[in-house]
Amino acid sequence: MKKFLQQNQFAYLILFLLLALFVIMFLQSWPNRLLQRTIAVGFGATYFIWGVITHTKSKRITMEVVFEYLGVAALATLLIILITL
Amino acid sequence: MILLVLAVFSLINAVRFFPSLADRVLGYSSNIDVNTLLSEVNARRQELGLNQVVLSEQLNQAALAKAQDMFSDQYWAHVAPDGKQAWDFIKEANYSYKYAGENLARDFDTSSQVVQAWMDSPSHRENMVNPDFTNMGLAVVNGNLKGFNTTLVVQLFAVPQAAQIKSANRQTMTLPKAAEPNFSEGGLVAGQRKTNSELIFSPLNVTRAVFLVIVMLIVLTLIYDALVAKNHKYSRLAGENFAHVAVFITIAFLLILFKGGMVLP
Repeated sequence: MKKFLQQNQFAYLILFLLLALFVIMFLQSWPNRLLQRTIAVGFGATYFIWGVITHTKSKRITMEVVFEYLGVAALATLLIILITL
Repeated sequence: MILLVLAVFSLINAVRFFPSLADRVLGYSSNIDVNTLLSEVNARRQELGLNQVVLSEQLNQAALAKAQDMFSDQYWAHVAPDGKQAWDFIKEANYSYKYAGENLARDFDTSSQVVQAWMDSPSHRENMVNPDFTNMGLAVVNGNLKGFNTTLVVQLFAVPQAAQIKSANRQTMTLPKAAEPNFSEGGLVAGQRKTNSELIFSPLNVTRAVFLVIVMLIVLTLIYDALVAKNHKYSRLAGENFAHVAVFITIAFLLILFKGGMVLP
């Protein structure tokens, strides 16, 4: 795990920045639920793109990886959207 | 997993079609009262060096009528389905005003959350910190709106007809912004607290708890999968679990911190 993180330092730095930004924006946008949903969709799309780009750069991109990130991003977005309904 | 989440959400929401079951299973509780709302509003205004507002019995009645109307006609909007607007309720209460405003809120647990939400919303904040307003009416009403028990809060601000408006840009009467909560039959209470301490499982809390369980199961599964892959030195065809775990832990964090309540822009 340590070696893996060291090899992908920059990519994970970006991811953690994205996560922090997502949390801050989501909480700051309360009580505007429409904005919260929009932020959730934006984060889901960004995470999917991050996953695809990261795996493309490391030459490990496959259809399975694309669908995996698509599924995770969709599930994460869905959970947030449903809680704001 | 997506289907599971949708199924759970649908199941929780389907309870609304069985009112007796919804009351027993989901329950409802809020802790909002007019006195706390009034003191919180005045505290916010005092921080900004503004005058304090005082409750008007006529505006209280107007606010109450608005809340009851939303419950009886089952809507959550500034304008009723029959076209009735905030100032119609004010006029019906025989309150003569120069300038008025309306804020609405629903689904909040505490008075502080309601006031904070209004302050965080630019259009509602405009009413809250308007230096011209001297009178306020409040209604906190519990009831059932479209299948869910909730608490509607109606807040009306006004400048009485006899008062002199301070702001230079308020030369003409401006109609209020309305926010909307809704109620149906339940007991309405103006200036009173109404809580149900026995029923604490709101639909939001149940949904949040179930989703948290699902998220934690996903996280544990991903960690277990990563450990098995590492111990058996499997060559993974898919992505890295570490990123997914970070995302789902973030989602869990947001589910815990998510605050309910709605105001109408």
